[in-house]
Amino acid sequence: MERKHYELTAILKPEGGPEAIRQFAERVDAIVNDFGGKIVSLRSWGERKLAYEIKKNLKGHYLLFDIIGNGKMVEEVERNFNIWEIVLKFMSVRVDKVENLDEMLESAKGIASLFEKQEKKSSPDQAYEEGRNGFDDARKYNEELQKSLSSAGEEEENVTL
Amino acid sequence: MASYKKRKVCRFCLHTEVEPDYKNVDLLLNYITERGKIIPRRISGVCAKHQRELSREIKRARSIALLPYTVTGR
Repeated sequence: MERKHYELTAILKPEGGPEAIRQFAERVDAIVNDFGGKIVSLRSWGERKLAYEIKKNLKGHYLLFDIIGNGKMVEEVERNFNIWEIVLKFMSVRVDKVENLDEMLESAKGIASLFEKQEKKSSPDQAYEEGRNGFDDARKYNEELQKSLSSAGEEEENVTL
Repeated sequence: MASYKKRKVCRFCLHTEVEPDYKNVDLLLNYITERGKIIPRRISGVCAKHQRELSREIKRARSIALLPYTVTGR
C-alpha cells in the first residue's frame, strides 16, 4: 500500500469545549482507520489568536495530526472537514523528509492515549517542543538573529552614506 | 571612496539544525515585515534555496492563520 506521512492542521471553533474537540479527533481517527492509515501523533496548541478573522472568529483551537496513510485517505478527511461545522480551516501537508515510517507506526498508540498525553500539556510552546527537538536551537537562533539583524540594519545605513 | 558591503551568510546554511517550518512562527516572524510582506533575500541574506523554503513555509503559515496575509493601518 502506498504510505506517506501527512501533517494535518485543523483550526476548530473554540466554543464547543474539550468534549467537542475530542469527539472531532475520534471521528478523524475513524476515517483514517477505514483507509488503513494511522494517527501517529496528535498535538494541541490550544486556543490561539488567529492572524485574521475566519468565519467571524478571532480565536481558534489548533489541532495537529501526524498521519501515515495514502492520498485517498487525506481526500476523504478533507471532504469531511469541509462538511463539519466545527472546522474553521484546515491544511494538510505531505512530509517528504526521509523517515522511518515503520518505526513511527510501531510507536503509535491509540487515539485515547494520544489524548491523555496532549491534555497534560496545555501550552503551545510545550507542545511544540515535544514535537520538534530543534526548537531550543531555533529559539537561540532567533535571539541571535534578532541581535545581528538590528546591528545589520545599522551597517546598512553606514553603507549608503 | 570604495563602497564596502559586508557579505551576508545564509543563516539556515550556518545553523543546519534549524529549518524553515510553518509551525515555527517565531522564526518566520523574523522574515516578514510589520506589514506582513516577505523580506527579500537581498535584505535578509538568505540563500536562494532557503529563501524558496522560507517563502513556502510563510505561505503555509498564512493559510492557517498563524501569520497575516496583510496588516493594515486601520
